[in-house]
Amino acid sequence: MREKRKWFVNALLCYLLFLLLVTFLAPVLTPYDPLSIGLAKTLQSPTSVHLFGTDELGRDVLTRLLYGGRVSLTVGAAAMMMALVIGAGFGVVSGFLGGVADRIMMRILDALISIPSILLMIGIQVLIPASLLSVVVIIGMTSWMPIARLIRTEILSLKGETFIQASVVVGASSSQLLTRHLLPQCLPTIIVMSISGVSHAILSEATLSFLGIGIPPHEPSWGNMLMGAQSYLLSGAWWIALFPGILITCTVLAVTYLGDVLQDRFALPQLKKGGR
Amino acid sequence: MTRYIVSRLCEAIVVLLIGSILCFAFIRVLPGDPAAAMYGDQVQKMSQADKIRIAENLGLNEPLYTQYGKWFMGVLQGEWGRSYTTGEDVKTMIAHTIEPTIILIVASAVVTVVLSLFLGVITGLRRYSFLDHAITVASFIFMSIPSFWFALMLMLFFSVYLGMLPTAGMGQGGIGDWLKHLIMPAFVLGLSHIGYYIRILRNHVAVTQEKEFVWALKARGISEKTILWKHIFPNASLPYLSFMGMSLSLTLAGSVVVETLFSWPGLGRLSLKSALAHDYPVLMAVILLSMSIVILGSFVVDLICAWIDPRMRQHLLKEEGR
Repeated sequence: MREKRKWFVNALLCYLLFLLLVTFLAPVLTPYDPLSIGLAKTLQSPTSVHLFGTDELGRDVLTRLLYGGRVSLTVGAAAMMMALVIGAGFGVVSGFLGGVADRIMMRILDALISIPSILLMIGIQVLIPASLLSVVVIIGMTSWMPIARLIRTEILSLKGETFIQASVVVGASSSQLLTRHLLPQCLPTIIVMSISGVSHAILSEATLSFLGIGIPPHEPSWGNMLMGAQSYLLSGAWWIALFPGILITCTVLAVTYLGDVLQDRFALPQLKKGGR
Repeated sequence: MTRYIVSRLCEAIVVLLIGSILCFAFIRVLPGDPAAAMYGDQVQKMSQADKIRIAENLGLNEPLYTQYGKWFMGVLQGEWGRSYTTGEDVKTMIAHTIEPTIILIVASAVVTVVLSLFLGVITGLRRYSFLDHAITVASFIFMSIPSFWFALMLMLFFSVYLGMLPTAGMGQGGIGDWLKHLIMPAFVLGLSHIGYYIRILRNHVAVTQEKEFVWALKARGISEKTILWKHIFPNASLPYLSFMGMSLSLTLAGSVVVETLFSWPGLGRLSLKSALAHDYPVLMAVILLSMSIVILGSFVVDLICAWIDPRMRQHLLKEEGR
């Protein structure tokens, strides 16, 4: 059992490294331009020239997948970082202050978590013009709540530990307590949450772009390549929808599974996926 | 118990109030000219005075807190405003769309519960068997698959390739036609979070199975079936139930995607349409309604959990402001 799992983990890591490499090397690997439109060769099914076929504007699907991977992976990492910073900040402050401030902050958190995430995203996207950055901000601003809740719980339980009380007694300042003792103790949680945050962000980017409120259409991303796919799919052009979806699924699967392995390694309790 | 119910109810009301303030403040600061949304291109031909009159009619010139107060009191009295785009009463729009959404969510919940109970218990009892591995892999795949893409693949197979199922709408014919329209959206929504359900149930069944009280029951010669359904299952059902409460928000979010994809005439599709048209009264009503449903849902689930498990009630009473 253990051996099997190790083998699988290595395979997934190789897949992710391979993905990073090919998206990074996209200009070298493909002779086509992801943006140039060729109306003479629209909606061609996969051939040896266009391995994954061409889309409705005659662009090579494989090329767009490689370039789109850059966008999707960047959004995934950046949105996760943003959610992590907001979430950890909110959770630390709330747990550290305690008392009334903590109660009010937790009720605000409850309210935000109760709004279905896509509705929250739909709301925010009206506020900022669509671009890569806006998608990062939207996902970051709507996915930090579970992190905040978890970090707060952790800080609360740490506050009762003897070593923290001892540092208070010897006169450690609040900032020393936070940076030297509390945050390092939360590190395992933060790492696991950040990994599950990446997979959530990649999925959210795909969903938003698919709904037409994410990455603007001219720049390829795995999500917006699927945007028009429904109508072409129904008329039989399956390749436009198939390949981006497979890539999203495999990537999210790899990241999710690695997160799960790490969670076991750190012996963390089952994370609750509330408010997503 | 009464004390717990009351305190939990107060908490829910406070959350709802904060949520309504957030919603209002949030949507109020959004850009977009309501006059333009109402009259389209006509707005360029209007004089400044006309625009001001429109703003006054809509109450947009008053201070924000007055607007909030009026709006909230109105909401409580069933006065939900009119759509900027169609001029229709928001309440009737919601009333027309909520029924399809409830149908879809109930159908998807049936899919989720039936499948996850069966698969979760089986994998929990036979840990590390071939079946367990297969179902674990499958549930990881379902956690990772974007639900809209899963829907597209189902459409490709069942509608394009087999030509069996329709891809849009609710159908107008009899119950058979209606079921045919319902089956794909319900499965997409129901399967979108089934991986979490299966894993929660599997892990808790497996852990409970190795507890000492289960050994004691076995030693006393009580049948496996009785142990499973009378002792293991109730223990494992608590985290399952509380995840159900939490995932109501996920399901409502999922319904936006699924309804848009399958042109299902529900709340989710309405919310996306109204957001794209800058139709704030409708969007605000849908968001507030969804939020209330989620808060009410988690309140009910908490009560059920406390009712099933006395330990949880004690624990929750002691726990300071979660």
